[in-house]
Amino acid sequence: MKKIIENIKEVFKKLFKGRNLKHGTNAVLLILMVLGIIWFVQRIINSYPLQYDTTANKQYSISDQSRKIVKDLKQDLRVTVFVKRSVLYEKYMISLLKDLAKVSSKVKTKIYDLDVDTTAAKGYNIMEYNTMVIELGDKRKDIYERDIIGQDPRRQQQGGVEFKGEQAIINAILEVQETGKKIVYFTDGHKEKDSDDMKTPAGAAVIKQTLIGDNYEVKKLNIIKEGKIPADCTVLVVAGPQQAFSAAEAEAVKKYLENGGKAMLLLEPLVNAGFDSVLANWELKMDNDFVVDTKSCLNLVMYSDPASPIPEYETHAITEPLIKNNVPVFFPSVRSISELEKKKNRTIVKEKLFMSSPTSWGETDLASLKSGKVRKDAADLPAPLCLGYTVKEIVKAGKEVKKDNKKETDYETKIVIIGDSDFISNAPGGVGGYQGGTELFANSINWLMDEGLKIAIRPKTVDIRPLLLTPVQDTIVWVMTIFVTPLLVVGAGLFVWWKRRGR
Amino acid sequence: MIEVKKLTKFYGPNRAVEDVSFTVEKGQILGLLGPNGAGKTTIMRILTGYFQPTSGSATVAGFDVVEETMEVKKRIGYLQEVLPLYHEMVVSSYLEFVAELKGVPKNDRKKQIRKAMELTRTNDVSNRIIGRLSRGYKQRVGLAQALLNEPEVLILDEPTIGLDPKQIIEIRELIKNMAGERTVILSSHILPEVSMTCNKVVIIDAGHIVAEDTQEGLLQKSEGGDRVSVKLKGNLTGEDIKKEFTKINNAGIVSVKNEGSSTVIEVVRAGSIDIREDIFRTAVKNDWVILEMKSAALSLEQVFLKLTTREE
Amino acid sequence: MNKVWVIAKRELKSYFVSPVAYVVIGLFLLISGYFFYVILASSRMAEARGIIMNMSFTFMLMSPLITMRLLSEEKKLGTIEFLFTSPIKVSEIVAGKYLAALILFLAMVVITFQYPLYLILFGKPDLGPIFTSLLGFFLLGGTYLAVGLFASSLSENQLISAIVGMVVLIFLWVIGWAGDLIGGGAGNFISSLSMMNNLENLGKGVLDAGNIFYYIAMIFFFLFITVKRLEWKRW
Repeated sequence: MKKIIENIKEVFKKLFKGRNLKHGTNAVLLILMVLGIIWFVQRIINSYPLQYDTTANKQYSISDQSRKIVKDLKQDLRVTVFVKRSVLYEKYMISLLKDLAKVSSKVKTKIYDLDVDTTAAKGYNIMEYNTMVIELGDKRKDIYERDIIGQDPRRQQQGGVEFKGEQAIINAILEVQETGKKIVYFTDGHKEKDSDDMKTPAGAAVIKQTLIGDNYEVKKLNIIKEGKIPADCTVLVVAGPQQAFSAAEAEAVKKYLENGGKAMLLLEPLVNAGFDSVLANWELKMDNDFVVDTKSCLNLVMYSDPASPIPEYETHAITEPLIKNNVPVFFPSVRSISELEKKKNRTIVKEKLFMSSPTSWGETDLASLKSGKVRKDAADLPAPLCLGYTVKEIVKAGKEVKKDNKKETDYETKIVIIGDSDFISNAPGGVGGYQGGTELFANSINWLMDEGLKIAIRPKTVDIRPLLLTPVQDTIVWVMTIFVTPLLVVGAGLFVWWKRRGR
Repeated sequence: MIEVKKLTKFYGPNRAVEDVSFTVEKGQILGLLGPNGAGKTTIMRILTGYFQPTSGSATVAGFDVVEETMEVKKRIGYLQEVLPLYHEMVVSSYLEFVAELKGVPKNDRKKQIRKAMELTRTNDVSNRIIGRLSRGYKQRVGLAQALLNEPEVLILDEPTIGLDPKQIIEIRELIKNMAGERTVILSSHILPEVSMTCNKVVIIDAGHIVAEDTQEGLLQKSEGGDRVSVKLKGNLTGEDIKKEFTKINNAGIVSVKNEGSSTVIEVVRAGSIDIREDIFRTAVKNDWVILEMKSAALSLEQVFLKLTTREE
Repeated sequence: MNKVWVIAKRELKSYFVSPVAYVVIGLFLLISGYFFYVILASSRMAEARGIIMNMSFTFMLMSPLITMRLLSEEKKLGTIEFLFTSPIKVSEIVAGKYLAALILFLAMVVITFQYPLYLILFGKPDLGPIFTSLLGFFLLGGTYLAVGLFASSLSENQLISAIVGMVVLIFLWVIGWAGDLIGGGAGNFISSLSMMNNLENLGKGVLDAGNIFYYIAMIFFFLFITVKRLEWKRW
């Protein structure tokens, strides 16, 4: 051992001393060695979070909250990003992920070029550019570009954008850390759309596949048999029952919702599903009509179907992606929904999803439907009619909280009500392979599920310090910077030249 | 003081200096004589540590020029052929800079600069900008620079090049005055400069030493007559005569040529012993009639030319 | 160290009487002053980021004019032989030359301190990013000078030195874009070598040890190869 050290010492001595040093080849070797050392040190430095954010509001630092969450990771967090090369997103994400990786070695990041690494993309079933997949154990959460990059209105002039990557990632981490499966229950026993029926157009197996793909578990629920809505129910779906729910069943649904449950009620026209009392509790009522639209309706080349209206979207988190991508949705046989009088002591947030077009009306003479001679008359409901509602109500944690439940936070009751269920069927209106209805359903489920950001982190907006110069200040600045300073320097040069001219 | 042993320097495949050895005693002035491109500058650059030798070694004041370059550099004053002057500087501040660079102690700096300026008579230009000085003054400033830090060894590469005769004499005097306390190596391609100022001369050609002598040796060479020319009666044929004269001790090159009805033989002396007597005896022995005999002193100039002009 | 200062002092005196230095600095201040005013007037924000980027780019093209003479002139005049035969190490010569250029540059940076001064006098800027921006500009400029000094060691023609310096600097500036285009691990590595990319954090107000080390390492590396280059010539 000692000998080896002596040898190395000798080599170094020879390398650094005497005439060898000046020899060409050794110089090249030495330069390579220096490069290697620099590279090595740089790597070490980069692997530590040796950063100090000098901005007043620490706008470039990962917040302490996030830091703690990332530090507390018990198992590897795999972050896989599929990017489009050389756009802002990639640059931002790389630096953010690098910073996160410095916080905890549990964060494993991988960045793929969606155009190049197609096999990896296929493995993850990613179709969209700039999608990030967060995985913890067998849990997975996808984050899209729209969740991360937003426009910063205050910085429009600079083409500035706002990044919310940190919030998105941290919330995704919290989400995948949550134990317990998300279960969607479809009620059964009232001739609802059958989520196992793959073969007939009226079946609803397609949306079941979609839900499974989104990590949900899909189960059927017979309320009569169970006696109540199970505690593990994440979202309850009532998919177009053809027979009425019994009063006891409706009561169970109501109880469930009052305790912060989430439900999607798809109620067909011509059927009394027995939900009047439930809806009345949230100030809504199903109109006993059948919406007909002569213009804005399913209009295929062969035939036009006034009984399948295409409504106009209202702005809502659920409809936003559909509006953006210009995907219409049509409802084969739909009824309208209207609001009841407001109750005083409750704050219920009701939002409309879509309204029927001006050329529509709600036919109340249901008998005329069978004869096929539908006509708009005074007894019918005038356009526009609301075809879908969402309801939100915060339920204060109080007496209703069971003792074994330690949660102190408030519940949020959420309901999506649509006057049709055919749009979730395998081939609504006999039109197969149609995506709009499925997307509307999936968005609704996500909205119901979404408990909002579990943790609020300031978006990284830019700290703007405006400076408006008064005319005097303006003059001072340009005279000093453009004229006085350069002239002083040149003048000093001339002075020196003048002083030396005689010597 | 200076010891050069088997010094060889190649620039890539080109040989600049090969197998050069000489020594200089303390207080001596050594003249490196040779035509342009002979390798004088290369030797000086090796001695000053500017170049590394390819092989061989050299010591200055007991320090190896390769291993202890810094020690060597501290002890030499070097006037390079292209003057080391910063043209935009004022003379006094330039000398100040050099003194600092050479590590002259602060309290000694002023005194040394004054002394160097006095010696080189540059006092009257001390406030002038170097670039605007005449060639002679620039040379003197260069010399003043070399004298700073009182170097034990002065290495002067062509110190009088480009000067007018009056300036040359001044500079020579200066160099002579400095000998004794300092050891000096100066290079030149002009002989009188060397013969007048140096006590030892090394003649270099094409990277080799072709002659090395002390001043005494040089004097002897010019005194004893180096070449004896004999005119013999009759038109004698060459080979025989040549052979006979070559037999003489210490005889060098012998040349024979016919001049009308007589033959002229030239014998160059190789050693320091007079050969005229031997020539006389040889003629008598062979029954040649000497019409004329004269001894021509070979000047240093001729030696130089002879040595450095290769026979084609 | 003493010797380094001796070299630097002489070099500064040379700069002091050299018209090139005055012209280059005067021109730089004119251009950056113009940018400062125009950016301030149009953005109406008390920030240093935009002007620092512009100053960085401008100085990138001008710094070789400051460094070009450092070694080229010595080579041309033959004074380099004088330096090499003086009792001073090559590294001290290089360090001294660099120090002189750096001090000249620092003087220029001090003059540009007036820009943030106006921001402070007339507005309420976030001082952290302004400080880091200036630090970034100083480090970046220091790197330019080291590159320029190396370029100056390559030729005895000042013009060639300046052009070589600019080409190297522009190369080091644009490899960031090349890295972005290539992408992936290799692209990342190339980007990390870019002078521009390493300025980003400092420009927005984040002091990052990696970025600062990058500049110091670049300066060290270029000075190192300058020393090697000068030594190599004499073997």
